[in-house]
Amino acid sequence: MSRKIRGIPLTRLRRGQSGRIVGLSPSRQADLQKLITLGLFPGERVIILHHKPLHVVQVGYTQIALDRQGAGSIIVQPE
Amino acid sequence: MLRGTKKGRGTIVLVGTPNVGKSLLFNQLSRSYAAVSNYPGTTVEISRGQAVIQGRPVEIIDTPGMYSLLPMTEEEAVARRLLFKAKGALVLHVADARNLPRHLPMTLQLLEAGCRVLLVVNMLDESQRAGVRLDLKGLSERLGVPVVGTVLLHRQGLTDLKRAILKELTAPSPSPGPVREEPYPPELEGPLALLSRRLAGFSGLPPRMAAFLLLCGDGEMEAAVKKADPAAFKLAAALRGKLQAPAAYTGALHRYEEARRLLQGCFARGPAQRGPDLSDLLIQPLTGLPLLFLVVYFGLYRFVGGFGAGYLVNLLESRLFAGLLIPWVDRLALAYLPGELLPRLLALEYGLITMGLRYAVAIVLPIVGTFFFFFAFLEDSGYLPRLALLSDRLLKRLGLSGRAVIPLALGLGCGTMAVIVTRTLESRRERVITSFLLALAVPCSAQLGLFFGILAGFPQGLLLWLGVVLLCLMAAGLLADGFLPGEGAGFYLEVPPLRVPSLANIAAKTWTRMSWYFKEVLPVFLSISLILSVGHYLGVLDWMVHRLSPLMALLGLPKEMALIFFLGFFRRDYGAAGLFDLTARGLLDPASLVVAAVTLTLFLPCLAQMAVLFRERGARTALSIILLVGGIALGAGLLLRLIFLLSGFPGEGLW
Ligand SMILES: Nc1nc2c(ncn2[C@@H]2O[C@H](COP(=O)(O)OP(=O)(O)OP(=O)(O)O)[C@@H](O)[C@H]2O)c(=O)[nH]1
Repeated sequence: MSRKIRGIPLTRLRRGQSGRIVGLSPSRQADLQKLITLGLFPGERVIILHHKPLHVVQVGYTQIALDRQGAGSIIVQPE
Repeated sequence: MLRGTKKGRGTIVLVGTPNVGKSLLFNQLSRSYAAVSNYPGTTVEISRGQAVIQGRPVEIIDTPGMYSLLPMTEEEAVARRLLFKAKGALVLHVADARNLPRHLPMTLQLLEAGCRVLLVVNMLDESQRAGVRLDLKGLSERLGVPVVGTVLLHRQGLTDLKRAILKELTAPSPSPGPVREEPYPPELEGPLALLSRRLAGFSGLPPRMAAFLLLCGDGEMEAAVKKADPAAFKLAAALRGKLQAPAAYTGALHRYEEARRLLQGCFARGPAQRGPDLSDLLIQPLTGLPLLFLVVYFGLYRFVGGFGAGYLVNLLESRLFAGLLIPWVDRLALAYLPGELLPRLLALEYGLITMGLRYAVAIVLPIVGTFFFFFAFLEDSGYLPRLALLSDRLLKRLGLSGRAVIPLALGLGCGTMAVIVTRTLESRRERVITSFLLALAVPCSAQLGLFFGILAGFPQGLLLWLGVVLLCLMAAGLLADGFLPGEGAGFYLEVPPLRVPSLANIAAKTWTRMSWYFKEVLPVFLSISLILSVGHYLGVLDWMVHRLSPLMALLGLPKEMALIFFLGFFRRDYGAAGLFDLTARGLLDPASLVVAAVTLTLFLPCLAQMAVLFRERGARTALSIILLVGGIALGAGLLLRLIFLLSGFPGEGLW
């Protein structure tokens, strides 16, 4: 989205670090919907489990694998 | 509107995200089996079944996994169409207990769509283990729909569920109130009100739902409205343009907040936990690749190749058919059937029993069966999503994403089934590339097993064959990615927990797939042998072999190979089975064997796969794929032959 959001992309969290999602800025609108349906909503708390070979985050009890583009479009406030 | 319940038999539609237990529930309610798996999205062909619930006959429809009513894959579109068509049906929304906050928004959406919903909160065992506290009764009251908790894996809660279903189906007036009409945020509310007035009575959906879908730019809804009411279509486009954020997003966010509000006091997460798991080892290249090698070696090479294609085929083919049945059938046919043609139809070289049935039952079935068993094991354990993760980087090079590993791996079992499963991929581009690779360079299990068997004696030959085919796969993928317009695929995948596979699930799934396969394959095998025996009788076969022999000579192959290519066109496995025969008769030297194996592997997909290719990809794409594949296969065969000739490799001494 075009709104200005303060925070860092998910890719920049350290492994094991958690953060709260503050915004989503995917390049394609379809991707936005994908993130939502996977439960990656603003307000949710996520933990980074892996950065390699792909980014794996846990949200609630769900683990989600994302490529760099996907993970980079999730803006979080580190905790 | 949607809920004019028909008297008499009721209909139940199962919906939910992938991997929540829909297939399991389907199998437990009905008598027939749907594929049950621990991989998101294996319910691709829709399963319908009959059930008797406490004395009342009910029709059950299982749908492919769906994340929301705004479809993103073809598969989800299929699910939604099915759902919208089943008017008056009772919709069982199966949700994962631990992740209710993520599943409940869809329940709300179903209610907005005017569906009569029963919420099944499954996997209570896992939520309990995670320390989640749930108040399902409270939730039911707030939602205004019945909610039943289950552990479908252990058949817990089934009786309650059946009772609730029956109560819903026999209720004099369907229990939930009018269509849920939660006010949306003001930014959406205005446009929705404007649009829904125009769409009243349209498409059988509640007007607000229709308006919401239209505002989201939903393809199917747009197409329908554009035709019926162009002015409304234009209005929607104008309204959409003024929105600050996409309607799908605002709507989803709102529904999500709403779900969170409803769950307050009814759902509390336990302490965050994450056990040490094998996951890490499976997805890190350093450990994941050796583990993948072990899976392939033991699963494919030893189990499917060794046990299925070796032991079982030997048992059925040499002992049962060649040793017992065939001589007996031949003798009977010659003794009792009059004329020349009749005995040939049933027995002898290309007979219905001696060739059609023998190939199907003795050679192909054991191989395909063991493969499906192996694949079901992988699916149920949760290994496949991890494989997808591991292979994403590589597949990105081919214009695909990690998701494509599922159809590609399934293609090692049956290419036809795999082409259908490409529906789980998101973009058309990805589906086309995957279908192309499946047609070209992914041998099906019957081929694989037979080639393993045939080439087992020459390890160099086996490696050479494997190497050349892999090379072609990579090259074809790189080319396709380079030439096809559009951008590469993104990768998002839910990774379900690793679960100990249950034997019952594996058996059920293997059985479903095998019966699908057998129904598909037996008629084809029988018709081929019929065509062949008549063709042989009329001399057409000899003529064809004669016409094709120059090409065979060019490839350095005996002229009998022509027939095998011809057979391979009907079914790849049939062709491979023919190759098996030729080798057994000692007609191929090692170099020709490799050339033949490579060319046959790359050669055109079987008739069934081509038919599915046309159906799924459309005539133009399918034709281009087929032409390309034919050209590449012959080209690779010729090139290989040339290399062998020039280099003198493999010299006779090597083998
Ligand atoms: N622990 C536990 N596992 C369950 C339960 N119900 C289902 N499962 C497992 O969850 C996995 C998915 O079940 P399926 O029935 O294939 O799910 P589905 O919703 O049909 O998924 P798709 O066919 O992929 O759309 C299987 O491995 C089941 O064994 C449950 O109550 N408890």
